[in-house]
Amino acid sequence: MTREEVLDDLRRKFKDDIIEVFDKSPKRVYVEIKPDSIVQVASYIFKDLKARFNTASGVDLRYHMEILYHFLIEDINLLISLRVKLQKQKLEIDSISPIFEGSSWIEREIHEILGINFKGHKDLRKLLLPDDWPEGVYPLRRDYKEWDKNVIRDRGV
Amino acid sequence: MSIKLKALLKSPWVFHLSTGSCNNCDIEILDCLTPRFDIERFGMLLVGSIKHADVLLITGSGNRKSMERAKRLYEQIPKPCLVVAVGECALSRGMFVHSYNCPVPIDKVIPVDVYIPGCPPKPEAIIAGVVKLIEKVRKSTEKK
Amino acid sequence: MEKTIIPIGPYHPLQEEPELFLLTVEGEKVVDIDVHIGYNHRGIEKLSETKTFDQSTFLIERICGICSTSHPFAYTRAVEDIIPIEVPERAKYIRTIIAEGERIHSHLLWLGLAGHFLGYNTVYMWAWKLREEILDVMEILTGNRNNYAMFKPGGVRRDIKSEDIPVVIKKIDSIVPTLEMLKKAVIDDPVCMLGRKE
Repeated sequence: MTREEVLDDLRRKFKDDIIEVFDKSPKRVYVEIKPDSIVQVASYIFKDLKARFNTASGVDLRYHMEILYHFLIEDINLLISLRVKLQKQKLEIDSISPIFEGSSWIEREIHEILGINFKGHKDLRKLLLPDDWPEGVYPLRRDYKEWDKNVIRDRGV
Repeated sequence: MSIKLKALLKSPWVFHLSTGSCNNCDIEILDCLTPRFDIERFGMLLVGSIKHADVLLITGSGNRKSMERAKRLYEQIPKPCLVVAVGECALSRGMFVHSYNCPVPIDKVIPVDVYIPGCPPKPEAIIAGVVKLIEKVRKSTEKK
Repeated sequence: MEKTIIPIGPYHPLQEEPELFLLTVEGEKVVDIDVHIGYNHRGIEKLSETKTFDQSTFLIERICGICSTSHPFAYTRAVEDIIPIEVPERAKYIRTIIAEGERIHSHLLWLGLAGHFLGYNTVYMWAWKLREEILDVMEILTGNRNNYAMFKPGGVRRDIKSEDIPVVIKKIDSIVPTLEMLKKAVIDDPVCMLGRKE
């Protein structure tokens, strides 16, 4: 399938879930969808179009948060990024780890560093931070403050 | 105590510990054993267990998870021992000063004898540092 | 059959980085594995929020010491895609030369370490001795053995001189016969492959 066929196929099947399609360059496409339909779109792209899941990235912007899921179709050299916008009062989304196992570790990392809750994930333990890190403190948010009293932040010169 | 320290300097056995580093300094330490900068002719070996070691080589900026284990390891090494800090990150955390996972520099937790700067230090610099340490210890035991 | 848990702990003689593996073993077969990481986490993403685009190239070089060119290469290509900006011809050639030099030294490094873990120390010493020649070449071209600091969004930071080029070519040609001998010592050696093929 060529690039235009893939995009027309997506637009036809998920007409009311897609909000906007942004064509950046011959190799990249950004597709914005509603948060409730992430499981359907992700399983269609993974199973029927035979794409490969690369990674997911979480961003903290000023008034909302975003998660981007990156899928790669190797035969036509196309990278599709699914963008999901979440409001700061209600940070929850369905997890896509029942579909493929490869996304369970990246969801654990986004949960412990940004604070987004993934419903339906088997095992949301801490991945990178130590066990005595306090609850509710998320390092990569913009309003993170230093909570430890015994740190030394100057070089002593 | 001074006879033991003098005998230790003839062929010190080295244990290598990494508390969260990028591995550049570790590869330069392994590079010292290869045929160009051979330190096995001085009798230095890399050992696997902490109970056999005389010298402790520390690299890496102090991670929160790793510093608990490093403190326990320092209590298990048979004294008297010498501690050497290799690389910029072990001296004062280098460019990771403001990171949330590196609270204090290493020498507030473990007492250090010799500092070797560089990012990464060349193998000639590591050998020069170890030779200065051996001469300093030899002079302090001869005065007594 | 009862299950036992064997920890291969953070600090182990074979590893250079700390990682914790918990193996669940029944008799002699490994049934399950649990991995704990996080002993190397330094928070590079949070630190690069406070630096400019040029300054964070130096932070990104220190993610890994062996692949110290691949990470800044990917980062500068991403920044040039966003702006967008065209890279001049000579800068593309210089970037390729440095990336290929790093690929050679990285392959010799893992070949030596593979021999070291199997107990075949001859391959370890020979491979790392050859690796020193390549590091000499990189020192003539850029000034350092490992962290080159040559990448910048939009080009390269320094130029290479044309009187260095014959010296570099002579050094690289002199390691080719030794590489052939090393290949024969590893692949065609019957004692080494005897126990490993099954």
